[in-house]
Amino acid sequence: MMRTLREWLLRLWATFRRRRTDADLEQELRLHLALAADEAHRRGQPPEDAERAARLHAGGVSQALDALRDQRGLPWIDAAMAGVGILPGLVFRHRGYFTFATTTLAVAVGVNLVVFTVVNALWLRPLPFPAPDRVVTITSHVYITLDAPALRRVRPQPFEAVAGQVITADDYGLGSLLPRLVLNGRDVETVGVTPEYFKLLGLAIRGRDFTQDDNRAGAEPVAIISDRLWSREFGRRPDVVGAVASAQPFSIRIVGIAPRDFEGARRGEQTDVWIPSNLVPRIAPAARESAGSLPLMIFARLAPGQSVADVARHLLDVPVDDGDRRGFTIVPLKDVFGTPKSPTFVIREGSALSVVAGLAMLVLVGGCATLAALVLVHYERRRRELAVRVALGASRMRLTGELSRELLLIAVSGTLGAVLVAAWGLRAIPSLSLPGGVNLGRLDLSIDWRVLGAAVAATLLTLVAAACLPVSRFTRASLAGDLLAGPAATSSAASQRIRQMLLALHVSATIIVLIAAGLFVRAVIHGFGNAAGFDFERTAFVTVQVNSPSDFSSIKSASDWAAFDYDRLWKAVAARKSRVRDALGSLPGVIEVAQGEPPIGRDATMGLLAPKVVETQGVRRELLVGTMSGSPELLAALGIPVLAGRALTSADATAKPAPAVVTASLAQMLWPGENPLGQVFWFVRSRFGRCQVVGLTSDFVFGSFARPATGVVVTVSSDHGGFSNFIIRAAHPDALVDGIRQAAKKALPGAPWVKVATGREIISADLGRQRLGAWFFSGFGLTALLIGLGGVFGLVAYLAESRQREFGVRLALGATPRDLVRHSLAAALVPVALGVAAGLVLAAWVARLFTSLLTGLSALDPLTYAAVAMTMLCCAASAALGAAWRLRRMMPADVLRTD
Amino acid sequence: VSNRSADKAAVLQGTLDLMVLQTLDVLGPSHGYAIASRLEQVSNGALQLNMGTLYPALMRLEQRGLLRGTWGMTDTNRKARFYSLTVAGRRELAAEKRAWDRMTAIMQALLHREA
Repeated sequence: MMRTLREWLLRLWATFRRRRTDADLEQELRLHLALAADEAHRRGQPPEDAERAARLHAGGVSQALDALRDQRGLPWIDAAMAGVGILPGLVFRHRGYFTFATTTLAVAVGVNLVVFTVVNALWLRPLPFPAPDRVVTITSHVYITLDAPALRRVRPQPFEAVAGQVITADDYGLGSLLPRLVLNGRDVETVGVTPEYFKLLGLAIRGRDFTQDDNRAGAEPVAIISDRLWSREFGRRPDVVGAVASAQPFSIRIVGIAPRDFEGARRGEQTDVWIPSNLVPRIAPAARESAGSLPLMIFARLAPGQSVADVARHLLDVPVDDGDRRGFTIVPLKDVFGTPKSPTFVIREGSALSVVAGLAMLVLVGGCATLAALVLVHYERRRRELAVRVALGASRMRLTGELSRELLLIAVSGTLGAVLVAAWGLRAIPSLSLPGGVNLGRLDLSIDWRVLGAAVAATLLTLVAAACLPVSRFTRASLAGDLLAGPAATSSAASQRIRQMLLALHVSATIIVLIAAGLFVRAVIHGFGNAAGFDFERTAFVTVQVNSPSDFSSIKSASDWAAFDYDRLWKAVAARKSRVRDALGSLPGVIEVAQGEPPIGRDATMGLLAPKVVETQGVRRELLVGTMSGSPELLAALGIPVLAGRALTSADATAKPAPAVVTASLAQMLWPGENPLGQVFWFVRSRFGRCQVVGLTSDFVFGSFARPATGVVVTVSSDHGGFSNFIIRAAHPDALVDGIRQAAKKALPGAPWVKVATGREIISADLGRQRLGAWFFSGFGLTALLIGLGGVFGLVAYLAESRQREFGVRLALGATPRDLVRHSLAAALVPVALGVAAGLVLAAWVARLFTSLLTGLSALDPLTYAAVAMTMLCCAASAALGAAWRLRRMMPADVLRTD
Repeated sequence: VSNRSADKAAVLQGTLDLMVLQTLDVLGPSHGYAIASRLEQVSNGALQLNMGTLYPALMRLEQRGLLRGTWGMTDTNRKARFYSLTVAGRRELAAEKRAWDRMTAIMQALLHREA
């Protein structure tokens, strides 16, 4: 046993480090032959006969040398090493094939890796707390606090626990409530939470959790820090818990450390320090001015037995404080993205996730199809070479081993390339400004090795499957036929069929991806086209805070509100608004300034959460109607024409019933076939009073592109609110943004907050999901098209080339070169056309899954389908034409001579 | 082993190593040709080992530590590789001989004893 082991170890050692060289072995054998020849000579044979007899007697040197080499090392390792040794030469000889195959693999797998890593980070990775599926966030069009009476009135109470986090983005126009805490000289990301926050999330705190006492006025400032901060700033010292950390603007006692990997409830948060919510006003200047009630993002854990859908339906019917039946919306926390500086963004839309993942898979399928076709074509071209080697005695095992090594080389280099592509892609992605405020740089974008494993397994399977045909050839005795005919002249019918099938498959996959990309791009273009219905290119929207904390300085206790002089405040506010308006109107290039809110955006969308009941002529209808009110110039500032009747005037502000201008489609719905002018209507269960139609406008989008109002009612109102919205009509609003801000600040030096957005920016924000889709799918589409075009070009060229012999015979029989070009075009375009047809049908089915995202566009948009189909057919036709062009100069004698 | 003619004995499976060890024990350090000649002589020409059989066997025995090969000069002043038994080789030879004797006795008894 030990001796055998010693022998094998020595042989293994000798495989890598030879003690006895070939020359050494050969010298020993040649001596043997010489001694045998001497012996024969001594027995009386002439020298030449003696040498021959010695060779016959002792055997050939080369055979003995082979046997000795086998005994010296481990032959299979030797063979593998010899195979590796010849690979560089082989790669150089077939550099086109290796480069294209490796690039295809790298791009297809790399793109998948990038997409699935992003999808995983955005959607799939579980949130870092127990049972995340049961935790939701609740929003409303007005900001809510934990003790919002409306929430408490819900019966049965659907929540097990409710907690809040101070909204730090300027969602509600309060200005930034971002707490600024400086620890060890560095700004740390800080959020204010209510004491129930960690309990609701089910997280165990090292140290202690917040208590209600921590949130009382005058309590000692305390904080819970993240595990990351504990490592980074405190070297994981256990005595940090309970210690006072010196920070700016005040020192703070660290009472606990959050679990490892927890950096906030929402995806996108990278919180370092959590503080009690009531501590926020002390370190966020804007919060000091929000008169004591902080806007909270409400998190709730659903009670057992409650589903998100049930609770959402239930909450929609709960009225909030203005009496309208447009209560709360509820979104599972796993579906939102948010950072301290950006509002919460819902990142799930129906089956968008499966569509994204599906399309990424299609890119991989397309890449695999191209790879399989390449392998087939490559070995088809090398048939003659392989046949010669089989004829010269190369064993099938040896050829199969060689082929496996080539495929392994492609797989390994392709995988390395894919990791490089993914690493580059994942590094580039966070720097892209993605729509909707999604900042991918705040997500953990480490490569998902499971995805890499799955993608590599798929490509390996493809390579092995594609290599089956050439391998089966080695085991068949048909190689004599291959030797007789030229390399490309005899592609078997089976291989031709497989290649055509792969071509069709690839074309189908590419068509689906391209159509998805095309539909999204078209939806975005459509949104930026005339679909908005108002002149957004010449509009800017301004929000100015016109009241200030000093207006309420006389309020010392709750009883002071009763004696508060509202009239004086309204007058002061009106004067300030007038000043701002005049300042804005005097800016160069401004055509019109009106008071009013943007028709697209958060407030308008919130107003459309539930349909309104409209009553006219004694009939009630439930409609998704939007309401806008502002100064009489509102419609003119938006560039919306009045089609019939009259425009609104200042006198309409006090008239009863309130004169209103309605959109044409709403008028058609409420009074079909009648003259809408003069008709009276009112909204049931609403503070909005009776209205009389005095004018008719063209339709425009109100709310959002994804869920627009079916009609809009515009009235004149005098606005007493603390915030004032202005609509500015100007030739070039983009150039005016800074001027507007400065003018507003100059007119109202004390204004704490001015926000300006151009019409284009508002539409960009609204089309966030569509733009995100366009980003994703255009990336896929471009990749698929590049791989696809390379694949189509190569395959079509080869299809034409592989029929050279047939064409030679046809030429010899009298066909013209033009006939051949036509024939090869037809032969190549048939599988492409089949692929296009199948792709169109499948794309129509896939597009149904994201219809809701295609604002104002049909999932069967004929223009997109036709454009994509034509692009693919034209590319394939030009590839075929390019390949067939060479056939023009083909001479029948030359072709047939190769036989 | 040459097996082209019927009168030439085939080397019994596994006996070549024993024959080589025994030859070296008798002859002392010898080169490959001397070993092959000795075996041919002893077997009266029945055992004709070709190089493809003999030299891998010598290498195998050397790898197992039973032989030691060193380069030296022949009587005719030619450079040759001489093989000699190692201590382990002598032990192995003794053990193999005992096993062979036992096996031949068994075979003898089996084939020639009368009922």
